Amino acid sequence: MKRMTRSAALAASILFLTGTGASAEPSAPVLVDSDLRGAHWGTAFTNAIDLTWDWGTNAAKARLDITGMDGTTFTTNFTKTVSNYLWRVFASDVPAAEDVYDLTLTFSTDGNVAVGALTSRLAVVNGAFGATAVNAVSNSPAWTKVKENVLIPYDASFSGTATNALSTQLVIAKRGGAVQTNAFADVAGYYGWKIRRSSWGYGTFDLALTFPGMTNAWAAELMRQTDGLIFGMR
Amino acid sequence: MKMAKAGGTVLAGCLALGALADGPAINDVVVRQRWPWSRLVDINYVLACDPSVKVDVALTAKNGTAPLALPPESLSGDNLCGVSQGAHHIVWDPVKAGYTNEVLKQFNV
Repeated sequence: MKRMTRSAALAASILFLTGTGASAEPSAPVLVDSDLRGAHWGTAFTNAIDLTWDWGTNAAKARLDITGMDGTTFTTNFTKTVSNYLWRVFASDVPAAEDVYDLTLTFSTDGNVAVGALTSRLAVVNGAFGATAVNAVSNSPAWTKVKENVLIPYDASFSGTATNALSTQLVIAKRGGAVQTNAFADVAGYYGWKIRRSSWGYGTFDLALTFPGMTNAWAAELMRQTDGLIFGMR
Repeated sequence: MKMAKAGGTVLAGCLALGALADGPAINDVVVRQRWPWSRLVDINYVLACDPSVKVDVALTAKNGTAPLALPPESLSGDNLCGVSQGAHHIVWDPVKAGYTNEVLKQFNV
């Protein structure tokens, strides 16, 4: 059982103009999320997200790259007169599919020398926009099947003893094939596993989730079968 | 997910102060099963209310429009009573709720 210890707060501040006797109206309450360890931080709740940033003294321009789970990349450039960008994550009210996006904002000088970068990872989760599927069937074949690109959740709070973890490791091993070790600097979020149109192919996959320094581990066995029909020949 | 009531004494104080005109609200609800690691379902939400207020939260769930049973033994995580502002996390175990033989395709809270 986990008790949230985050210090997220809805802050309404009142600015007073001292000395004149005048006062300002309080600003509208906004969410201030200071828990980088929480899944909340990395989840999208609206289909449009306002990205804002501060310019460093040496930066003259910036490039924003947004890469989805399937590898598609959106790129746009900014001059120093711009400090925000409204990113339309998806057009409809609810997402067509779950996805996870890596965002990189790279600052550079007029001479194209990189002087800094901001990075983030945001997940689009069906359950943030409406109903979602829950499979409670024990030993269900559907549980182990994977057909599309999928989000693999990781959170140190899955195990109460791993809440002091500082990083995450997710190993995906295809039986008789490739092994991929993913290391994350955070302890909660989603990994977008691109399995369609990738080199993974078909077969059985062993997934292992660990939080270095902690003893608890999570394991899963997933299978990807070939698309279409399979005919047996004699 | 609904707001059941705020703690009586504290709520009275809040109303007297009139600090948050819109009253408590639950936002940013995210529901997701821990596939492929376990059948547990994580329910995250953010309670917006005056910092001095404690609120009782009533959790209900449906599959589509069909109500689902949420026995107390199937719930863990943060308390639903006396909840203060901020982010909270509830874990629902569908197996402990007796849903051991079905796929809930339209689960929502």
